[in-house]
Amino acid sequence: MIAEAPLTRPREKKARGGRGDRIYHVLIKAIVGVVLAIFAGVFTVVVFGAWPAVKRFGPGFLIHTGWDPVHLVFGALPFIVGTILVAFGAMFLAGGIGLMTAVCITELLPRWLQGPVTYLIELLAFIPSVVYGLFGLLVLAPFLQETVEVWIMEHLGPHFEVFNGAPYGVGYMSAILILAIMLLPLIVTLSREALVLVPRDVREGGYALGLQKWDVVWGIIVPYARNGIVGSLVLALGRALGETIAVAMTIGGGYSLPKTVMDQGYTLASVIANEFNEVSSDMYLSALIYCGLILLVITVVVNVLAYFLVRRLSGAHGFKA
Amino acid sequence: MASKHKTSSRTGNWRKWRGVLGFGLTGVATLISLGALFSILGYLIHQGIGAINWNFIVREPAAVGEAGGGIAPSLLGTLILVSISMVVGIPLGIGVGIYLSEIAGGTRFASVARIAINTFIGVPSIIMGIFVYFILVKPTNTFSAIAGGLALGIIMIPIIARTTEDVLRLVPKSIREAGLAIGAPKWRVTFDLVLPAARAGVITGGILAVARVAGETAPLILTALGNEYYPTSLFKPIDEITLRILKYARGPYDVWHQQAYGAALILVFGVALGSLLLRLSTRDHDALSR
Repeated sequence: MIAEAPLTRPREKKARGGRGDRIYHVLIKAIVGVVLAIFAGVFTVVVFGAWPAVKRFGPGFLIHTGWDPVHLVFGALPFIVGTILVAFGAMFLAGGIGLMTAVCITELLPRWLQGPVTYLIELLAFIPSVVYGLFGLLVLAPFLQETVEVWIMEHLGPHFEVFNGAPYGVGYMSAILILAIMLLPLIVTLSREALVLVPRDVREGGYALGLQKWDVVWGIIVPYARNGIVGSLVLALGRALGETIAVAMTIGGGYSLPKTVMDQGYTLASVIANEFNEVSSDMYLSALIYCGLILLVITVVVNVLAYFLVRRLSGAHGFKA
Repeated sequence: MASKHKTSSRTGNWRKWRGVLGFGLTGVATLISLGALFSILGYLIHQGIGAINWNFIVREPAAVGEAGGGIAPSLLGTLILVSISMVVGIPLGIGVGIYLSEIAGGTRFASVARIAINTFIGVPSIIMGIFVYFILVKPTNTFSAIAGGLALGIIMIPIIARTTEDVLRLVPKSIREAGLAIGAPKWRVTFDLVLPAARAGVITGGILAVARVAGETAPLILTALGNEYYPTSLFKPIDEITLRILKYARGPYDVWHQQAYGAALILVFGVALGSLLLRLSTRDHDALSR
């Protein structure tokens, strides 16, 4: 790091650029003020929109089941459970496959293949979520319905309650799989960066002890890079919690607590997207915004955690989200 | 002695097999990752290419469920929405980036602003849709292009702010000091020296943000709504290509499904083209930052 040099100009010259700099400072600070006001406005407006429902249902909204727009009975528990199941399911699935992929790229592939493979997987990040939704709805869900889900129902269903569902195609399983694919590029890119940053000495120390390559990789390098890997998982979790349209298209829609992996349901974000244009009353709208408020609080908490985690783990420069 | 030797060779064998198994699994994982990419892209091209022709790009949608027709209003609507979002997002985003890198330093206010930016990158886009719905759609009693563009613009702000801050920080301090040393005011240093030096990076951030919002759907459901016809006013509902994909994907007709693939192919191709141009135009910058 270069020593911090003072960037203020000598005092006697202040007269020349003074007015220009004053305008510049005021302008830039006004922009920052506007942006922070927008951010504050977003919170305020969401709370304001949710207020009628907050007043009517209170915190019980979070622990009640039931979604009846006609009798104005609303409870968000199934959506909260759905959000957590889908987000964590996708995170663990993508985390496992993504970390293995990153290890393969950095440790197994020859140098000339590393760049292209990484680039291809990063391409996944450029596909918009509605396209994932399209693929999930029209390709993956029918495929699961005809093959995997039938097999699961027939062979695992009788033994495990969690597999004892009907093969709808769209449902939790499709949503989790699609979301996991969407998270892959994030996890692969960030954990690859963490693995590459492991110092040479650490690796060579392992070999000097006479360890095999796999033991060095799995026993030394991956644990050494765990901070970056955990950071990538938390960021992926944040993405997963808020993903809306791909999940809305593949999860099928349903208002009760899930019992099997093949059930249909909703997450907090997808219920808003799917129901918004069908609201029939102000209280119904407000209940949806209440779901949005819960989602906002959850994602802000996760993202603030991720921010401090990644910053603490990486120092000012090493690793970028 | 002999038996000890035998044991260690057996563990050596087990270790070797464990390595083969472990690396084999990582290879399978990589194949799964690449397979996901290729099956999505392959399906998109296979199904979508047949839908794309001249009429698809220049015509309005056909009557419900009928063959033919195009997505011209959606393409035009996408351009309009993205343009509005750039008017909102680029100046505000770059302004905040300049503030964080050039003015704020390490003050408490700066760290609050930085945390706010990083937090807002992670806020789900549908929340911005809710915000704009209440401040614009509900008061004016109509969904509109302005509302959609504003929602997309707000989504852009933190993305552009962060990339701008990052690339401005990469500009060496000596450049700023040289400018100040010859008596240039700070604003001239920022706009004539620092920003031009970081031009490639700032443009990269801008294109990334545009690509990101061009693929947004959720906030538009609450703001732009969608439309079957060409846009006539910024204060009326407008179509966007993602809304069109959503509608056609959910419809019951095979024609719609095929057109959804066609539209998705155009969208992915557009975004990929943007990213490719970006890679080519910023190669020097990349080399520097690594």
